[in-house]
Amino acid sequence: MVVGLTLAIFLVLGQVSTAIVGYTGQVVASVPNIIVVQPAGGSVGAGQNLIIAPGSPGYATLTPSVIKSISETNNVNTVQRVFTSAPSLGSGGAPGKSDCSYGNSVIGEDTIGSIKLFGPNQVSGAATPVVTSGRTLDAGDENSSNVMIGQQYANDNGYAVGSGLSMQGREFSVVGIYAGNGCDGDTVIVPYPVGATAFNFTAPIFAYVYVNSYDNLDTVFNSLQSSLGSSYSVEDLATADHSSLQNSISSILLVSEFGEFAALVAGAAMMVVVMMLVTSRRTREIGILKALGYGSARILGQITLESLILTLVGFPLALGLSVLVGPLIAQAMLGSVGTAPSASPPPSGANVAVASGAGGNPFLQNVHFALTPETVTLGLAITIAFGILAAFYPALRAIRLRPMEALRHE
Amino acid sequence: MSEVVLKTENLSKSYSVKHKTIPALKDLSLEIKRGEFVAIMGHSGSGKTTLLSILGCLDKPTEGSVYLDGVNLAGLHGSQLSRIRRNKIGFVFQSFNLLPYLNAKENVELAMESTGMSKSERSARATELLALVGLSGREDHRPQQLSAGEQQRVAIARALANNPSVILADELTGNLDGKTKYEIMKLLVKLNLQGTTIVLVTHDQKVAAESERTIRLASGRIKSEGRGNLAKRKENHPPNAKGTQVPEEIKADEFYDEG
Repeated sequence: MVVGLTLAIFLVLGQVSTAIVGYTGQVVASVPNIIVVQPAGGSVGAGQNLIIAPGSPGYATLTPSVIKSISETNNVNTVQRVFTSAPSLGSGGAPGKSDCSYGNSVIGEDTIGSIKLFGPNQVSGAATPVVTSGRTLDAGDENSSNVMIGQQYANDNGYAVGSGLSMQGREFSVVGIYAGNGCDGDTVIVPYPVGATAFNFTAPIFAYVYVNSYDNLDTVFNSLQSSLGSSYSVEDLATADHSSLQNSISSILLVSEFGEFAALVAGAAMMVVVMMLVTSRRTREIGILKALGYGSARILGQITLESLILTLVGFPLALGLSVLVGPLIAQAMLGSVGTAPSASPPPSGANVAVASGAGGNPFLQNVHFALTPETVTLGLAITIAFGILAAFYPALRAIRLRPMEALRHE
Repeated sequence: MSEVVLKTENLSKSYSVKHKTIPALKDLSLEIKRGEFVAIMGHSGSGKTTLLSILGCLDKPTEGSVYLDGVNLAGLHGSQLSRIRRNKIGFVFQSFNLLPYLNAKENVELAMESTGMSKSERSARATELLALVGLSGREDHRPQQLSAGEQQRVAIARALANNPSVILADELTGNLDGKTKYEIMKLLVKLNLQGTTIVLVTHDQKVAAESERTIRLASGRIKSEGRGNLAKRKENHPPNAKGTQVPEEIKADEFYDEG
């Protein structure tokens, strides 16, 4: 029973740890690894303008050669160029009625499969716009005259998918409309090369640098800071997001792993005590066997074998107990409140989805208590190892007693 | 009866207890001949059990030598001593020391498991020995189902299993009442008359008196030696043509009050 409970706790915590590690990977992977580079003096932050207008200090310093050097930095996947044109800057913008004090902005971005929506009042972020009709711009639109427009702009000026739009003497075609109200929606998104030419932008005002993995973020960040110098501002957008998530997950993982270790140690200690008690009661028997001419090695081997058999007989019982108790422990540990487990146990194993009620841990809502072959094998190996070791020591101690002492042992 | 089966030369044994050295045996020399029935007597702490342990390879002397069938036991290591205990020595203890989860026959077979005998051979031998000690029909009984005297008989049968050179008995009548003690002594005498060498440790005068020779220990040394009743009986009844001796039996009233 002791072994069963210990095994249950150990397996549950092991599964939790595994799930956390897996989830961490997913979470980390879902937050884009982005570094923003812009001429020094600009800033990217909540509620702040991103724009460096033509003629401003630092304008047009992200030259093609600088962009190229950034893209050739190790571990950089791609570099996305961005310019912003707005009437308030005297640099043009989109025509028509606008509810935004800045007017209708035009944002040019290199299309790499998803649009990062930045406008005069946008916070930094990596949200893909929600398309309400049509489609987003993609790599195929790089040199086209296709544009996306915000819903507010479409509503104010009567545009729809397929509408024509004239800007800077050039005709553009609306291929998609994204959800956005107010200034957020008073924006037209154009492919960078086409828009930059039309609006006469010789260089982007900032660049998004996409790093190939979160692990390389620091390396790329430091490398860009070093290579670009003080003329440019390099900001890591991803770290803050990753760090807070990582901290939360690390804390949970630490508790889980500590619990796993504690369960293992406690279970092993209990098993050792039980086996020591069992074996010490055989001290007299060991004395008898020695008096009959049994060698120490044979006696030790016999006791160890008997312990092994005892362990192997007990393990299936322990496993059964852990299957019964494990899901209950998992449910209690993950703090779910309210709803019953959302999945019934599958017929082939002991997978039980943990309840994800109102008080449930949002990171672990899909943790399953699963008796995988690996965990069963590991549990068996640990049980056998401790069972044998636990019997070995007291047997060795008894064998080393003088036989007459062992014979007098009660 | 002439050859020496057990011999000690200047045997000494000391124990270290909490940085103190406690001598148990001091410069003890003795010889036991094949076919003898020797009783070693002495008060508690005289060294009788220590002597028996050393004779039986259950302990090692601090100084001196022990010879069994001419082999010096001092230079032997653990596995060699185990082999000697198995093949040449039979132990009988005061508390019987039978394994409670084995029946009488299995307890006797236990002594033969490392000898290379087959299961059927062990079984046949165990049955024969139990019959010899008067326990035919009780083979399947566990120790809890046997009386004290019967348990001691099983222990004696177990001690005889491998035809040992000597039986070493440590206070084997200590837990028995008068009548049972008598029955056991009768059995031992019978075995001795059939050629088994017996060394019996006892503090019981009556038991010692029925041996052939008594050795009295005191403070780890031999204080005195004497002849027992069996010696006189053997003299009065020399071996017959078949080589066996049949002296009169031990008188029951010398052991217990039948009245």
